[in-house]
Amino acid sequence: MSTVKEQLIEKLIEDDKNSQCKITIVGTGAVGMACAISILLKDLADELALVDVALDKLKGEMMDLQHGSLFFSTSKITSGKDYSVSANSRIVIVTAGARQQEGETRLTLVQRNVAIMKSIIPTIVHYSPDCKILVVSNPVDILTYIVWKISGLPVTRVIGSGCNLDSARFRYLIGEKLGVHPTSCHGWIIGEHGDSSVPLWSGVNVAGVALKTLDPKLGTDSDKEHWKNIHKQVIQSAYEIIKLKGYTSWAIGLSVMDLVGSILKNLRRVHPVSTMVKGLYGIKEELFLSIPCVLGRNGVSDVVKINLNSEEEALFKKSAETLWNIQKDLIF
Amino acid sequence: MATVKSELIKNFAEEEAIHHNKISIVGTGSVGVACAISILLKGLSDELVLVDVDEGKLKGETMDLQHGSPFMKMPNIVSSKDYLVTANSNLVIITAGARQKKGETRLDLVQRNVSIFKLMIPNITQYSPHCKLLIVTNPVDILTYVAWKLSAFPKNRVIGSGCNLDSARFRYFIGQRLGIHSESCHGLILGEHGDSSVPVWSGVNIAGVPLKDLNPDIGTDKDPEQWENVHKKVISSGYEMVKMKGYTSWGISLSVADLTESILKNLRRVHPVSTLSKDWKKMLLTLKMRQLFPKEVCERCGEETPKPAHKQVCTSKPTWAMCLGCHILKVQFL
Repeated sequence: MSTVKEQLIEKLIEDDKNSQCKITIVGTGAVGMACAISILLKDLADELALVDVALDKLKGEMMDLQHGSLFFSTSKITSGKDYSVSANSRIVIVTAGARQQEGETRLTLVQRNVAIMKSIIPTIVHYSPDCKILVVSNPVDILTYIVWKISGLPVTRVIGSGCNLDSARFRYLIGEKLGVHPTSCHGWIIGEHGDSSVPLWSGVNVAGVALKTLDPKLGTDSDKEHWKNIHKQVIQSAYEIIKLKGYTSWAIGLSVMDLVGSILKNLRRVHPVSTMVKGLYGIKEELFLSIPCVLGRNGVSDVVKINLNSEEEALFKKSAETLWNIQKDLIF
Repeated sequence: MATVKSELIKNFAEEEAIHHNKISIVGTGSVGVACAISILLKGLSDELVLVDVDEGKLKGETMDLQHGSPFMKMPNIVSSKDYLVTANSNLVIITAGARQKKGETRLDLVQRNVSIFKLMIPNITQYSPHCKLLIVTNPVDILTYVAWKLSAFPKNRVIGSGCNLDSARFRYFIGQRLGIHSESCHGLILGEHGDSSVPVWSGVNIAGVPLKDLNPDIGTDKDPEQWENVHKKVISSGYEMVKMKGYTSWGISLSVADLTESILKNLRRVHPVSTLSKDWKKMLLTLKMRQLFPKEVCERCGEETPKPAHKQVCTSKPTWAMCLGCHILKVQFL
């Protein structure tokens, strides 16, 4: 007896099961799921795979997304504890790892997260040897270095979400102060995604007008308007939000969506993301720090050579030192 | 003293901007913030307001969303405990309320949420007397009725998210069975957003071909393919996910964004949402409760009514010889 399906539909050719634009998200915590919903609503992927060790949560989250299928265009959403579900991904987003506790700095998380990366990265690369890996877990700069080392992938294909979020927060706060939308306020934060990040005050501008030409003291301690506090607020943001709601999720999810869009669509936009900076600004060690990078289909294809003034360069080197002090003692 | 702002920018307009698409979301729990991100990512509003009683959580969630502004054409996002900030909203989405616990039916939540609504609704209507109210809190059908009564709004402006999500799930599962995207599978679920929802099998069709024409037993016990399991799966989805991840958020938020879009853009699309049915008293009575409980006669309106056989529905002394409709009227409003 024929089924309703057989009566209704005549198959002409086999369904092509290969996806063109698959994204895998490792970790279905608040950050992973914020990345997932942002990516789905922006129609960036034709297949989304979720991986986690907590099986019930994983399945529940996958079902909840699937039930919204009518409202977006990603036809395949899968999940599993086994990395085979991640096979042939274009991008693998790593959000898994221990979460920053209230008051804990990103750097104290390190050793906990190194062990996790050792267990997951080789399998990811095995199933998607051509992928780009986008590292989000903190401390992101050090973990991006570790993921790069473990993966054996070319350095251009391992990217840390880095200061893309810090710069977004910077631009949001500048926008609030000026009454202008953040997309029209330009400003860059580079270096460590953390307490030692470097705000580039000389580049902060609206419509090409550098704020520093209007107020040469901008960003210094003698600045009457205390613009420097904006950078302090950026550093404090995460800690503040964690205290208020327990974790941060939306902004980092949107930041990741922004990076994924540039990579998958080969946009060649410039983003401050964490990449290998050995050889730049006098840095001799193999360190990952955020600098303005051109992102395209192959990951980081170029870097923008920013002229740092002596103060900014000193801060950047200090950022590098802070990270190297932790990285040099790591065993993995 | 000149500030950087005053040196950079010269103000032109003297008047305040008028918001045409202001949306307020009451409740920043998982459903509320999921609705916020879905609405923001679809670019539906020019101002978004969040309201909650938990000020810490409210501020944290608002900051987190605001920090994403550069990545989208995001409007002003405002939040407060005070409903004053919701003034002149085009649409107010209510997600606030007690959440379904493991194993708890939606109907058990009623009384807890009615008290919350008594505080909330007058505050909303005071500041946005012309808004549309979209109720999401469960049990959505009863609470939409409560919101309608408390707001004194015309019935067209009080909508329950209802079966928009159930129908989306229904279409998704049908699509899975047939290997077709849910958008091309048409089917409606009506009635209660809950255990007694009604799948309209006669209307289920792909490309205009009714599945009932291909399989006349579809949806009945006699169906060898057991299509009725698809409807059973829709009903159990909510409970299943609550068990697995503690709550549901994404599905409902996407459904709410879908309804929001239709309302704000005046699309005139057709959605299965909870609204006042013509014979509302009879409607309340014919909800599943009638099947669950033995019949009695309501002492107030004289209608046959189900009598809850188990524990009290609310903490004030209920007179059980009343139908739920009259009981709500008596205890809450009279």
